[in-house]
Amino acid sequence: MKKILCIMVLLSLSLGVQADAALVVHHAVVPEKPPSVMVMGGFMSIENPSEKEIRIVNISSIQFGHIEMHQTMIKDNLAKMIKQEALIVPAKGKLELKRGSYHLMLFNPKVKLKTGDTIELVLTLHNGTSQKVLAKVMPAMLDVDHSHHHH
Amino acid sequence: MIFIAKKTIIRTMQTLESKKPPRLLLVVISVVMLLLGLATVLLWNKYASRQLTEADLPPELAMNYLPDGKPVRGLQMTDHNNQPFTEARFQQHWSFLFFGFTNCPDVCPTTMLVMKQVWQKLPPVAPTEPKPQLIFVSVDPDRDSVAKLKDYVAFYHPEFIAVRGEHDKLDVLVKQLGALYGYEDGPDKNNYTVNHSAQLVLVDPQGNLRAVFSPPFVADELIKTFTHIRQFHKG
Repeated sequence: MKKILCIMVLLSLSLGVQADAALVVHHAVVPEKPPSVMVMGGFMSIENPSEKEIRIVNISSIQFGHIEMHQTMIKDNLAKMIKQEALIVPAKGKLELKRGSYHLMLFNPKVKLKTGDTIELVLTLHNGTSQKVLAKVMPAMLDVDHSHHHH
Repeated sequence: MIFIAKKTIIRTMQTLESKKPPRLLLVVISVVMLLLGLATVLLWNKYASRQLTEADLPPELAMNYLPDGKPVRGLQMTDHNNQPFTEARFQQHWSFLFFGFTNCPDVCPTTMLVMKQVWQKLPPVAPTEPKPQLIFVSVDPDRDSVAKLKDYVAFYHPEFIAVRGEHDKLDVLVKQLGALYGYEDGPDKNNYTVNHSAQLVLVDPQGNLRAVFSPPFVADELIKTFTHIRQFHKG
């Protein structure tokens, strides 16, 4: 009986860890910016299939000086960007990084990035694990989310 | 009211007739009639113009249109081609103005891209009619050089204009258009962020602040309202 309980605990633990490590990222894009601009915006859809909330506590890329997570807030016609310490992806839920909402700020590209280039991002999660995400540089367009045309 | 006044005049005329010579009477009547006419015209004008400022705005304009346009004056800015930009540049053109900074990752590119769509979709004006202008006002003159602004607006549309001025000159424009901006510290001295007004403002071809549009912006809606405003303003 003790043995069975032990196995069950171990099993649930291992399942938990496995699920925690797996965020599913779709449509990671970085729209092209004018050549002289040193800050780019990053957008993507992040899914968390696990039973527990996952927090992204850091994002980095060897192609950029540094990356911040931000939220755009427009209140009484005043646009503010609120730096986020973490991006929270709810259990069995989704977080959309999109225009006018949560987004990445990618500072000081090491080389000029053009449409079609790939950016390798490393997402560090609250449990210390990390995950690689590939983002595409896309033409400067309003629509950064091609999966939701029906909206 | 006018009817009663006329009756009074007739009565006055009759009493005057019995005592005064007819020539003086005629002069008095003419003057009274003239004054009455003038008063009627003045009252009517006042009434009509008050109607316009309050209730008579078409409902589709009520959200945006400013019946009392505010003249924009005293500008000493520089455009992206390093040419002086004063209020004279508003004359004859409808001008959309937007406040932002080139390092802005979300709000500014989004607005610039919506305005690019507006420019692509706006029905062409007659060749004799001056084209509307989109003017990007940099609220980050310390980092946004003229060269950087030229590169920035050209990236979105070849007709777009950018203007820049040192803080004292920038504030003259920003205040008159009812906008705000401020800075927030970033990771280092060069990477601060800028909080800024996100509205689009419209200046009429006589140089008056005439309409304000609040985000989020949709190209088709902007075009519809702008077309209404242009027609309404014309008369």
